[in-house]
Amino acid sequence: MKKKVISSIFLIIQLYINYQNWIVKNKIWNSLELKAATLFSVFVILLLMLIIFKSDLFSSVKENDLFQKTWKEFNKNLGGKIAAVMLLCIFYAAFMAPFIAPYSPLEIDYSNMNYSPPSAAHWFGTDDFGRDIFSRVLYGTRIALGIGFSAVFLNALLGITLGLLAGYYGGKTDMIIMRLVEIWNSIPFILLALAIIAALGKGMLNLIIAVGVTGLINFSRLTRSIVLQIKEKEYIAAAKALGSSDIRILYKHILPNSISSLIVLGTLRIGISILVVAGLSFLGLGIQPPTPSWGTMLNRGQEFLTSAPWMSIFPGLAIIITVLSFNLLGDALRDALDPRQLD
Amino acid sequence: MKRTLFILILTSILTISLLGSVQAQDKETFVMGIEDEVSNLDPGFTTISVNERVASLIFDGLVEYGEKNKIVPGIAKEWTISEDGTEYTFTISKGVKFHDGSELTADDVKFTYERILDPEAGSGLRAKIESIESIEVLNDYKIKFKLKKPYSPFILAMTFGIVPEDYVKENGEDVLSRNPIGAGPFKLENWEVGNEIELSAFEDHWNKVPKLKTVIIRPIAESSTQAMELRSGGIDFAVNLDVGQLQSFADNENFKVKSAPGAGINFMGFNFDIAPYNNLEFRKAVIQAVPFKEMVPQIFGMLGQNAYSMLPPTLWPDDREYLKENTVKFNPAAARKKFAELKENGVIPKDFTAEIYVSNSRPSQVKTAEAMVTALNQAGLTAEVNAMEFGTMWDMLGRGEIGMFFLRFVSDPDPDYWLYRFFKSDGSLNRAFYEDEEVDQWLEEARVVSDQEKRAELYVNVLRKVLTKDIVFYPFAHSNQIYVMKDNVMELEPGNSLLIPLVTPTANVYKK
Repeated sequence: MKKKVISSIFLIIQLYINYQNWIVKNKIWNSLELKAATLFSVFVILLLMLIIFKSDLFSSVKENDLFQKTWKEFNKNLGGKIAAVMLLCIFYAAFMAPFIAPYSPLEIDYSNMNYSPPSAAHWFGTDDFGRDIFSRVLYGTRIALGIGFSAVFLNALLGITLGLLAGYYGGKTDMIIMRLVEIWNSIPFILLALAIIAALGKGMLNLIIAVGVTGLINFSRLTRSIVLQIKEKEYIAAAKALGSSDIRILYKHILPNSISSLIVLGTLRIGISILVVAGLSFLGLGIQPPTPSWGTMLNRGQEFLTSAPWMSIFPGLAIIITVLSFNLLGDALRDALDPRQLD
Repeated sequence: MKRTLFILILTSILTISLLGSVQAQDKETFVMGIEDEVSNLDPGFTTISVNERVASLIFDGLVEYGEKNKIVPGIAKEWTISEDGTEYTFTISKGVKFHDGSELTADDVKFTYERILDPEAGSGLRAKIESIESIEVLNDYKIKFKLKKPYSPFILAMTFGIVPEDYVKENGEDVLSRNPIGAGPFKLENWEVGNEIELSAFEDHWNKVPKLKTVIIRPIAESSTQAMELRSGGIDFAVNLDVGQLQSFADNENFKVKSAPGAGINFMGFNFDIAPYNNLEFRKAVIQAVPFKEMVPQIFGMLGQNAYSMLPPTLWPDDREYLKENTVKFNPAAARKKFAELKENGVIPKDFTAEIYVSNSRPSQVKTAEAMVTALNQAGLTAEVNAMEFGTMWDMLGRGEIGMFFLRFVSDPDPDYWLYRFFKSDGSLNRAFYEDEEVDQWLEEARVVSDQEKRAELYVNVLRKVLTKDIVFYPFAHSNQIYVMKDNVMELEPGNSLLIPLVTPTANVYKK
């Protein structure tokens, strides 16, 4: 019952936001970011309605033993729960930025380009171009999460593939792949990212590549160690005896059995990626102004640190909260998903 | 318990005394912060402004910059120029001494200039004096420069610091870069590389004895660190603070903030070899789309003012009114229409992104570019800022790979230095790859004519053509030179941006 009330309240809020944007301001489908926001809000509305009207929605999932065990473990961890709620809010803000940002993050009032402290009209104050910092932080969330996820996805794709190959085939293959990955890892992380950006040029895609190919060793080493354990199991021997190809064994048997540890690592890596992107943007190598990103906002803020501290405080807080949430969630997931407790 | 407290106090005193840097409390010691490490103090090879500023304290030239950048006698007490403008004869004062006690004679002057003239030496200053045909020593105190053809701005090159011939010959060519000896008001006392340079007053200076007995120069790259040092008393004087810091000093009565125009021109340039930047309508539309005149005062603040000419306000010829009248004005509606038209005609290709290249060491320019991009996007032209390290950008500019760029330029007070290299077809700084016969002719003629009125007229022609008709460059801001100092520093006035005028014909800085 409680759940339904809360969901109804959320639904009303969501419908109000959409009414304001779709009907009053006619912002539905004009640009790519509006399309994304529209689709996302339709999804949220549908989800909330399902929760309210179809109470047995999750019953099959809930009956699953594995899920129950994980859920119980996860619920024990207060930090993890807070982090999950925070991340839900952050994701919501990222997708809905065009609908909830009170001002444009880019538009400059050329007649009044000056900073002003936080006020009722501008919750986080304005920057030295008179742009609303709250809106810019909201839009910055999209960039941080977007790049963070894509970079970790690329990172995981490469790292896991290398780890699977090294662990499964062993011997010389293992030797060569792991030594190469180790050599690659011995180049300092930030230097490598700098070098890649210097070579490829700036831009969002290059930034994703730069962050995505550094630090492969985390994924490949973890995958390799899990593969080494799993490949001795009887069911692998059985699959082999049945004549399964190596690829089938790797992707149908080994990978699904190692996924829980990889999810934990991935969650932790997202936090790190967001930090690196912010760091590179701070150095002027990542996202280029005027696109709002937390790192560039911090960079701009440092000049006004004494006269307009809010220019640095809010993007800084955004980074801290997001990265902290990912780390807490990663820790909680590790506790909940640890295979040794599930055996 | 007592002992613990005692030890605690002792340790904290020790820590505090370690943290406390050089305190500039002494009245005869003047500590200044500069923005970059000094690498070379040889006056024949200083083309970087920090080097030049420090070297100018150690070396004196035949002539000097006086008030309003007029040329006044220096080591040479008088000079004559022949009728046809090809012979300059200087009379050197008697008894001018170098820091090592030897006397400065015409031979030293000859040596100084021949050293720079030698193409092998590769001095960046050579371009300013390459019109010299021969240098003749008439006697110990008289020297004659003969030029291949008249070159009006030649006299400015006579400000180069004179170096002692015997000292260099004894110790090798490179000796001046680390152990300079000149005839200037200060001599080098001690140089801790990477930390500080200590200069002391030269009591036998030919003109006046500096009132400051010790000058300490500390390189502090970060503007915010300079500001902090200034507040804590670590330095007495700072140049090149950011806008964000300046305001707090202007409001503080313990500090003086002085500004003077003419520290350089910030302009936007276009490449005439790259489409669509070589299209006049495109260039016009770009300028129309951006409210530069409204932006500049707010972005540059105390650091700059709106510009209409390539020449600083302190320099002749003054044609600002005409240029202001005829410059392209802000008109977003017209710009939007024009961009749409150009896209239709195919002048602007599909998926075209205009990139604005800017040096990342110039925060005000980066901000201007950022605001400009927003305005261009609103007018319907996709644009991006590309802030990069200046060296890389300069190389790319040289290879003609950049279509639209921001630059800042500063030079000696003669229009020739500001215009010839940029707009002459084969000019060494012609990064717009602009070619125009008429402009070439005017520029060439203005070098030969010695009558200033005639020259002014020619430069007016050049400026009108390149800025309002062809729109090669769009100057948007004159940089101001900002000095921030403690309120007890007297007689220090910003003027010529290439020097720090501690001891000049009109001033002798001291601390009250």
